[in-house]
Amino acid sequence: MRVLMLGWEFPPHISGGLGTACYGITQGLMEKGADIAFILPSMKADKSTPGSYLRSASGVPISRALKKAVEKVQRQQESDEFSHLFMRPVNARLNPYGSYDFGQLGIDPDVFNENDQYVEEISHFRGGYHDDLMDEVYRFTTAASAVVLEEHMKKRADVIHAHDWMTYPAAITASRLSGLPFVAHLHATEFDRCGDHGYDKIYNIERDGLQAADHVIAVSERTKQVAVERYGVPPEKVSVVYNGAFLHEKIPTFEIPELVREEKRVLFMGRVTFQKGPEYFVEAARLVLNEMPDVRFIMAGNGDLLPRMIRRVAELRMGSRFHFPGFMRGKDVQHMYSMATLYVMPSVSEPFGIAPLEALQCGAPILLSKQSGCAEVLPGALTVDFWDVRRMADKILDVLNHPDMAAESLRLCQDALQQLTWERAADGILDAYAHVCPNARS
Amino acid sequence: MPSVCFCFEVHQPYRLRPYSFFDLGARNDYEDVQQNRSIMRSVAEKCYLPMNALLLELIERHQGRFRVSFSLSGVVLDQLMEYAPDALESFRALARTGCVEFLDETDGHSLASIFSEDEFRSQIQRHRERMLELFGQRPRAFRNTEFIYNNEVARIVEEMGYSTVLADGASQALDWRSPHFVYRPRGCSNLKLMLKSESLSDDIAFRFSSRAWPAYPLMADTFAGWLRGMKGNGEVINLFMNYETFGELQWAETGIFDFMRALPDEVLRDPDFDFLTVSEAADRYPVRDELDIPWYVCRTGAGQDLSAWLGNDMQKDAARALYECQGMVAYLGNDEVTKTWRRLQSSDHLYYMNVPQSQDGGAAFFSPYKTPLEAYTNFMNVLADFRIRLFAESNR
Repeated sequence: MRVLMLGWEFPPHISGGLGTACYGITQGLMEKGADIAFILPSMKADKSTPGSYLRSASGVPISRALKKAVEKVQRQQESDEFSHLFMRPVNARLNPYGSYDFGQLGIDPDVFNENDQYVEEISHFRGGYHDDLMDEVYRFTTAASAVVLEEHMKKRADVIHAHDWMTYPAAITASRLSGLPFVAHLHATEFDRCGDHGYDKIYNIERDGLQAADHVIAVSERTKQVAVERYGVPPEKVSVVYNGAFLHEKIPTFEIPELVREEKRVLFMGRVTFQKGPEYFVEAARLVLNEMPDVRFIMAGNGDLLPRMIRRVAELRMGSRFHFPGFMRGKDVQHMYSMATLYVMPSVSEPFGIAPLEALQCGAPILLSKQSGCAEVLPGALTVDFWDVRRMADKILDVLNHPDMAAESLRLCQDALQQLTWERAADGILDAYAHVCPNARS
Repeated sequence: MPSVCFCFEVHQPYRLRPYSFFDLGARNDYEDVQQNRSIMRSVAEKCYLPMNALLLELIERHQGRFRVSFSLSGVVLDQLMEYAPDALESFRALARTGCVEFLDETDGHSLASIFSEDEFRSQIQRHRERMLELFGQRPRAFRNTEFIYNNEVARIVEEMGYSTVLADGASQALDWRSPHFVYRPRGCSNLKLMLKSESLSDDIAFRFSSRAWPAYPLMADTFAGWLRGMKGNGEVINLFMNYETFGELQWAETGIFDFMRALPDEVLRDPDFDFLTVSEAADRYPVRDELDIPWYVCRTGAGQDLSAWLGNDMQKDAARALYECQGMVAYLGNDEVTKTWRRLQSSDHLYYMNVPQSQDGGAAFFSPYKTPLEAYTNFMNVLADFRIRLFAESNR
């Protein structure tokens, strides 16, 4: 089983939740014997990478013939239902040397037009998320297709597996040129990120990608429902595969200073953005502090709503009880979770959510919004509607007042966590592949 | 016969170090020692030492006819003792000339006058003791932090036995009146009010090196000419400014030291003029009118109200959380705790949380923080730790 994956994040190159999930998925699949080439827009050459399966689309030579073939696909798409996919022509950079030695693999024969084998351009990507993201997404289509074809010819592949909308246009094109089936992995939708106020352009790319895909993998039932209801994907075309947790062998113990050992700490950790619901946490904190003035709240993370949250905390006059340690990384993250009496994830919409799994391993009970996908696999977790601030405060107070109840919830969640392995996720993904390629299990 | 009264404000804040959440309960060293030391050394080298030497030279040369006043915050005294004993010694040398008056202010450079009369009084008391100890003087004049002033402040100051109080002269309360006379605060029977001569003081403090200013470059004889223009229109010319004007805000290269070196000669050339310390001037000139200022006024450049320190929610929250500690601090009566609390009261900490409203605010705004939000969150971390210790101590 050979999988060509297209992704936008991969540790250590830009690693949010998406990158972490991609890492787990590749690890799981590789243990199942799959052969994977993971194609990213850009990688920093100076960083060493685990495994040799990572491929950067930066600096890949693109022949005239390939460009023409991509343009042809694009024209077809435009005349088809894919009217939203628009490939921007990139400034041509003539390079007289270098050409592909394509074999015959059922690939669009235009790619091998001998008159057009000179290199027309070499694309370079910054990777990550910048102002020119949309431009990079479009350019990635051609560059990633080149890599896919090259890999496919090096060793016959079975499937193209693309993670989130940034890579869907590339996957569609590469799939059409190579004849390989395309599996779209839905980690998050524009509705998760922006509610009902997302970018139409991104929504359109997502919809076209999900509809063009031969099969779709959603990270939770909740996300599957979104794919079906808001993107018009037939339900039988969607498999639900929950993410796994990276189970740590050992969590380091962190010394808590004696003076604050008995304090009760309630933690929010994540991007301080609309999707994560930070304002509901702040308002709940006010209600909790009214009842229990000696609780300490922490909002760790950075994001566009951070200044507003700080001002709101000041306005509510709770700055000496509510702390903003900023973006945390590495050991500090575990340190924070380990200190927390309760971890709250009040996300407005969370397709899955990896952070609570980390929190559980560090021994923090969790309170999740009902709008979080991971709640589906953590039956012991406390849940609340993200908007129900009163209830959220009540549940926080319950945990603080009844440590036994909190410990029981934690135990149930930790048990469930043991089942959440990437190996199990890989099994689910192989089952999903089986819908589109016959030899998925070989 | 107008008198020229220089009064220099000397203050440097204790800047806080980046205090992380994980430090809560673990570390109680709040100050950025390295930064404070290096700034203090730099200010001492550029301003305190050369300017004190110049003033000493002028006092000796003019044999008692050149006189100035100083107001040093307790916070700067602490730092002088710690990081610049040589500069402190040069202030003491000035005190010994008998031509330099030292004023009292709040020991912590605090806004205590707004939040707590008790704390205000005890900070003044503490400052008084230090003036006697360090400079051998019992101050008769008082200048509140940031020139914060109203009738109530005047009342307390009078009750504490001072004969003179200083305030900013740009207040709307002055209406048509001139700051070049001595006033009596409403409700006081002995206290005299000396007002800063706004325009003339700022000519030196702010405009001196501005090339866009028509009077640039300002020469001592020109400035003395402006002062002579006051003859018949006023009795006191109060030149109140930050001492860091000399060598720090206005670099030595601007010629500020040469200007000051030449100024006494130019002023004293007219026999109708002399230099006095603020208390001497208040003693000599009669009260010309009563001034009723019921609301708070403060130094200009910060707006007419207290919004530079207490204008937004972050500042209000920080101030509230800070002064909430008063009862507990008093209950403990521990000198170390009190000292820490006072240092946290420095108005600078609140000022850093000020969000500059206008373009002119931006230019003069100095802060060790990147944003006012960072100033707030860092200060609140420190304050949270202080409060944790306060409660732990009181439960012992």
